[in-house]
Amino acid sequence: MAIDERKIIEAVAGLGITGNDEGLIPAFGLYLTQHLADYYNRISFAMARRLEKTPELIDDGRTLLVEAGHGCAFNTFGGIMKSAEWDAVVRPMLQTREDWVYGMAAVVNAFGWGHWTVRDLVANRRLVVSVSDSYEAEGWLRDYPQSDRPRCFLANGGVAGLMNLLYVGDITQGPELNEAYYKKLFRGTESFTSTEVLCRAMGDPLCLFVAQRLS
Amino acid sequence: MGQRLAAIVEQVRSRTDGLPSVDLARLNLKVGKALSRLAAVLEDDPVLIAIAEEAAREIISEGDEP
Repeated sequence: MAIDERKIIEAVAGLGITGNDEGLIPAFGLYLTQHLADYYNRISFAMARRLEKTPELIDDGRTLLVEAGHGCAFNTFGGIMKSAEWDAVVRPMLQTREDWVYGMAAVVNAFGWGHWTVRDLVANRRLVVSVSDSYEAEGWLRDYPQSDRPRCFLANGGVAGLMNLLYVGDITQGPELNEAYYKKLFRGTESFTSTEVLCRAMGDPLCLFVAQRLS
Repeated sequence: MGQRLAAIVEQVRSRTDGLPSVDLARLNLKVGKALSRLAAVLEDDPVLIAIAEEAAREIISEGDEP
């Protein structure tokens, strides 16, 4: 495995990525957004807490919040892995398809979306990722009591999305990221789903995600 | 019990262009009940049917948008 995470973080830091006057960050072939770190947390947690007043809808709320993570992974991770910056900084280190997973985790860490560590990766079968300093879990703990359920909806969808991009689709070939391709990746019987089995919001030492196929 | 409600759920679930788990979660939230899991045990209440039909129509019609 040839990924040098420190080199990737230094390279991304050196790209001078900043928000423009509209709060958009044009980088990696897409528009990231620059706004308060808690903006997403407040919205998603308010939705989850509201639905928890109707217990029979809790799972539906979680499904939709994780679906937002799928969409984010598809567009953001997918866009990054098709970008000129990826080709310049990360791609020279990639020797295997599995390296793409480690490379993407390094980019996530460069952006500071928590610290992702790939704990286990079985090609085309399973991915286990731990996240420390998850902005979702840490944000929950700061604002709400310890949770009785996982709270890292976006990261959860992101872990599944990464496997779908690499093993259901083939992001290495630079496909067009359109709606039809999204459905191919996320609605098929071959699609991966992720489960957050540990979460800091529940008092665990870190957040841990396991992505595997349903079937 | 709930035959019409169950039919509405199936209509959403089988949408050819959809994401079934996501579409059913949206149906449940729009209706305010876990319809996809409870349709068979709920009564076919006319008010609930009307709300469910409207929600299903909204979800299904999205697939028809250009």
